[in-house]
Amino acid sequence: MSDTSPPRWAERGLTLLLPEDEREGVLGDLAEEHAARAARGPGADGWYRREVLRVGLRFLRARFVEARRRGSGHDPRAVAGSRVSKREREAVMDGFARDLRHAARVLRRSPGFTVVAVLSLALGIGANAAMFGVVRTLVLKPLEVDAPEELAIVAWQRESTGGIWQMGTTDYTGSDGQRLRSNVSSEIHRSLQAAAPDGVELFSFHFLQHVAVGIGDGAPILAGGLLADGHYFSALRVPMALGRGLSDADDAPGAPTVAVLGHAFWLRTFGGDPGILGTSIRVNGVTAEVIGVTQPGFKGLSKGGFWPQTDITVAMGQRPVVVPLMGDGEPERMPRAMWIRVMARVSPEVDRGLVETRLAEAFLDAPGPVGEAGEGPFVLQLVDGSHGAQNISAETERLLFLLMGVVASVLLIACVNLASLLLGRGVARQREMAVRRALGGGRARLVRQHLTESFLIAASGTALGLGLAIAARPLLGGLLASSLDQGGFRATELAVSLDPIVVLTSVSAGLATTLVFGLLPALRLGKADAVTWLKQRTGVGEPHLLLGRILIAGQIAITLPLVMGALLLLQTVNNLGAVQLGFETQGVSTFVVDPELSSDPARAARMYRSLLAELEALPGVQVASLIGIPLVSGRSSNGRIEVGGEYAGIHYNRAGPGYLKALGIPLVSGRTLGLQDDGDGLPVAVVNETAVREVFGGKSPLGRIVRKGDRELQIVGVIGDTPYRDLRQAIPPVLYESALQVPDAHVIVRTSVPVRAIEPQIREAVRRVDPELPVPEIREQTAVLSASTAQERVLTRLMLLFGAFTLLLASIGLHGVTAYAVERRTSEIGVRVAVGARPGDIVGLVLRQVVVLTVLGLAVGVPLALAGGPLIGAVLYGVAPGEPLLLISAALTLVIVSLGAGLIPAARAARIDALEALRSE
Amino acid sequence: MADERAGEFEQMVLLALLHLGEEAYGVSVIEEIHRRTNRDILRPAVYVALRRLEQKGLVESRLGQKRPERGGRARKHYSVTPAGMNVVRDARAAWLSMWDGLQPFLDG
Repeated sequence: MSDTSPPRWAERGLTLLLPEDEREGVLGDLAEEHAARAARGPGADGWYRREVLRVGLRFLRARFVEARRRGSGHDPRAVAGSRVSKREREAVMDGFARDLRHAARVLRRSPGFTVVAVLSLALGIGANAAMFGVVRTLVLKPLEVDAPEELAIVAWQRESTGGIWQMGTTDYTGSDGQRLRSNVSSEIHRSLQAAAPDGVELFSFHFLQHVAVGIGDGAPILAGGLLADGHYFSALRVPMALGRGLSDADDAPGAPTVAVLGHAFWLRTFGGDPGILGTSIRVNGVTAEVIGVTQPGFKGLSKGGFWPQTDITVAMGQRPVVVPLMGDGEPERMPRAMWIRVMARVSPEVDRGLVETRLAEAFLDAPGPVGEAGEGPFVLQLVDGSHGAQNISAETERLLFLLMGVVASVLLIACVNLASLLLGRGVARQREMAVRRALGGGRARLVRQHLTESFLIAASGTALGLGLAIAARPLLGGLLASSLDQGGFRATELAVSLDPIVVLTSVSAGLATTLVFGLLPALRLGKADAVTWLKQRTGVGEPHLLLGRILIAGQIAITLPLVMGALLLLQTVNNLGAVQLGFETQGVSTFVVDPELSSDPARAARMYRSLLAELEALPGVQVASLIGIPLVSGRSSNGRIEVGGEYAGIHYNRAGPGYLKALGIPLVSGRTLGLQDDGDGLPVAVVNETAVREVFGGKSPLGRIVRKGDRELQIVGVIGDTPYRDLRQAIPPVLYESALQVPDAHVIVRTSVPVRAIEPQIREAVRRVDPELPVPEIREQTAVLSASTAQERVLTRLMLLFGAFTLLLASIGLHGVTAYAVERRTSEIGVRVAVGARPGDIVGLVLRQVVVLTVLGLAVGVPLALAGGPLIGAVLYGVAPGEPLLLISAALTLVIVSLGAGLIPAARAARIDALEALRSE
Repeated sequence: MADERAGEFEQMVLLALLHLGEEAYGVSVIEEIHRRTNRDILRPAVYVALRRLEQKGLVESRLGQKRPERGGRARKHYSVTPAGMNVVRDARAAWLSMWDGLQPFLDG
């Protein structure tokens, strides 16, 4: 079962380095030894990478030497591996070292230029490396298992399938763009499993958001869990760091409970103790033996390993013991409960179309509502599973590529700016160059000197940029974790990879751009000789100036969309802050006390009652209540109810006694849910005002009976509207059931003192009620609310940062070009002053040029900004991407900054003294 | 090619090939030298030595059958050519003649 093929990238890399006739032998040897090592234990991949590096470098050197010998022809033996003569090497290295030293000296002489050049490049490179790392982690990089391309998700859809109960489904996009879903029932799973043809290994699992893990006598901690069947580890080929994965025997009914730990969880909780195998832990209060730890690269099937984290994996057959209360009962017995995710490893020889047909037949054969429903076409497809089961939302993907575009423009601007700086500097050094040429310095030599300087800037900028990228990783990880945070489960280990590919891409991007942009002025300068230099002394309309101006206008054109984006996001954050909440957040906190974690599900409602009583008895607690899904937490649950024979879409929530008081929500009519609405009472519910309008046609719903699934509920009250999932979503119709009748809830406490001050007492109260309940994380509602707009706020901050930075670069460039122009026109200005021009006239003369450049840049920038609008549209709230007022503000900002940048040289020009100017000629 | 010589490490590789016979390929050569000398052998050194010996005409190679444990690749088997045999014999003779008469130092 263990995976023995060597790390693919290392192997590919070595293939490139090896001479063709050595590949078969060397790669084969390494593969053979890798397999032998992998069979003995962990560490084979690391060994392989080290060997690849050694062998690769040695052959690279040998090749280099061979080519050299063959080229120079003075050694007929063309022997591999012989050394380059020491003298030769030293001569080359000396020349380069001399160039470098000279370049460093030159750059030190103009520290302002050097700092700006290196820093701008570093920021461009750093932002790109970090973003590319993120995109690679989330979008491009497949799962770290053997042959991930063979993995497929079994996804299906049938139109108009009523009465299906989806538990934590994920939507996928089918080959025709249709929406497919992930989950199947136990019956369907069995039927699929029996029908899987040869070459297709099916495996199944179910994500568990919260699992309480008890270690020793300590209080249990919350972890992300997974129920997996006996084929999961073998078919997925999960790489193990220690021990073994789950087998069929572990999955059999009545088998002892065993658990496999995720690598990060093992490090976090057990400090990476290698003696962990065979130890007992408690999973939701059930004793389980640890049998294995997965390898660090494998983060589970959720994308990037963040939601839910696969901290602990337990056999699916243990579900009745470990998660006794799942929703309303035993999902294995409910043909309508779609709770199992199925994936397959499909051997490349197998025809996927045939597999789909076979599985579709088996799917419909299984008893249950999908097979019975006669209407609507049924679709079953094998969706690409190489990236795991978690589907990254199109919105998130767009956001990532938007950010990629932004950071790419920052790099572009940094490069353009660098080019104009190099050019301006080169022009200023023309006299030096002309003199050098006159003294016999070859053109090639001068170009080389220029390139060395560019190289030095590029190398320092790139190194600094990579450093910045590494430093920015936690920040970016945090940004993405907050935007991908689902179900209030925080991502603690969103790995933003800076693997060799990312580093190589960034380094080559940095070097290539700088060298190209450095070469441009270098080539122009190489042409300089004393004669043209003297000619140009007098000149208006010089080609150097023209190129510089084009670069500056281009910079302004790219800066405008970034400034516009920053303004749009600022407006969005403002708009979100102004949304009417309809409930109070101050002093309100929530925490999860999940009865699914309790070993005795029957006690759930009683447990809630005594918990609420305990909490309300605490000094400082004003009200304690229950809510199914905390407001504005990004979570949502919706479906439909039957009202008088008609179906209507509605969002679900659950509320406990005192809910309205806890959140300050008004009661519109009828009564609220109370302590009496528990398992013994009549099933009741309240709805919000929007539901009255949209579901009940504006008539009072009090006393009406609605049907939700197979439960009948009586509406007893109407309460005020509040935002549901997040602030952007229009307030939906909501049906609140009694949290004491459907026990799956968060506790709300409203306190008169800061909640942190009485946190120990709250935790103590929870433990008094049930010592097996994990000690919860208490979240303040204000924090939940601000987390709901975290993505927008962080994005706004990033855009403001990048916008301000590019503005700064543009103004530096503009200043440089203007200052140079003033210097070149000193004598002309002197003449003008001599014939009576006033300082105001001179300032106007200089600024006119700045305005022309800015307007030219804006003429290109405005269409660019408008074209880029749709990219950012999904993130905006209450503002159109092309909002004219903001576009005008952005353009004005640029004009003002440009004029500011031009003003300094203009003022200098105005101070020019006619006599001085003419004398300097 | 009569004046070809081989360095000390290359001689070791040649001798390992003779010991191994039909079974000689990269991995077994490394293991053989390690087993007999108890020295840690750098893999790249062995590959480069084999390549150099092959280019000098002292060693020849052929590819064997494709093997699954090698990721579907074949072993590259090496054998010593007659020229290689001459070099080994010459080297041995040279060493022996250098050692001749030095027996007392060995015992000291």
